[in-house]
Amino acid sequence: MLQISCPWCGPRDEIEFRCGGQSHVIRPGPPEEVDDATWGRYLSEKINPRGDHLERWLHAAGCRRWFNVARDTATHRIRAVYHMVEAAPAIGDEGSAR
Amino acid sequence: MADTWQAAAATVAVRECAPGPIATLRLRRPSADDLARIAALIGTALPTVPNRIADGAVRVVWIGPDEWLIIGDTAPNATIEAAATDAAAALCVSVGDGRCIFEATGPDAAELLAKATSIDLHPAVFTEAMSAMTLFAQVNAIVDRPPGLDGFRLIFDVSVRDYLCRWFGDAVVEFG
Ligand SMILES: [Zn+2]
Repeated sequence: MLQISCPWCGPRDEIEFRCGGQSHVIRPGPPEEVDDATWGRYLSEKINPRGDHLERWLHAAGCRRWFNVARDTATHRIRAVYHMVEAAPAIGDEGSAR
Repeated sequence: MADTWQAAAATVAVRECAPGPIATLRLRRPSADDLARIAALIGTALPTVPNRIADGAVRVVWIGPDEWLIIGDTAPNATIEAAATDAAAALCVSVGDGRCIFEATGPDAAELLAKATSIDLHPAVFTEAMSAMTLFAQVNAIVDRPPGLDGFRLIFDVSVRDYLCRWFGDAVVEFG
C-alpha cells in the first residue's frame, strides 16, 4: 500500500484517499461559447503518461480536502504533494521537490 | 448509558463511554476577529494547526482547515453561529447522539490500536496535544488523548458500534 503525505494531515495510508485523476485541467468557458467537441475533450480526454504524472487526490477519511500529488506511474514514487491553489512544482531527475 | 460495553486483558482495557455533548463547527475563511469571538464564547481557542487540539472550557479538535469538533458543553449552536460574521458562514451542528466513544487504556493501549491504524501513536510522537481523523479498523474515527487518561479515546459513528465491540473484543485477547 502507498503511504501518501496529505499536505494538511501528514502521512496516511492510501486507503484514506481517493484519486481524482489528472490535475491542472483547465475548464473551458464561458459555457455558451464552448462547442461539443471541446466539452468532450475536457471531460474525457486525459493524458496517460508512463512516469511523472500530476494528479488530484482527496483525503476522504481525514481532512476531506483535495490536493495535488506528483506521482511516477511506473514506480509509484511520490515526487511532491502540494495544495490545489499551487502551481505544479518543477520535478528534476532526482525528484528534488518535497 | 445502560448498555456500556467493556473488555479487558492483562495490559490493556477498552470501554465504551457516553458521548456527551459534541458539535461540529464549520467556518468558511474566518477572519481573526471571527476566531477570537468564537474562542471567547466557548472559552477555548480554535486550533489552526492540523492534528492539534486545544483545551479550555471545552476541548476543540482540528478535523480540517475549516472544521472543528467541539467536545463539551457550550453556548447554543445558534449563538456560536451568530458570533461569526455572515462572510464566515458558520455552521454548528450537534452530533453527540450520532457518535459512540471507546477508551483504550493500559500499557499496551498503543499496541492494541496499532492493529487497526498505521498512525504513529508512540507518546513521543502522538502527544497529548494531538489528534487524528483517520480510518481505524476500516471505519472513520477521531483519535485523541484526553488529559489524565492513560491511553486513547476513539470517536466513531454510532452505526458501527456493534462492529467495534466485536473488533475490540477480539483484539484484546492476545494481550492476556
Ligand atoms: Zn488530510
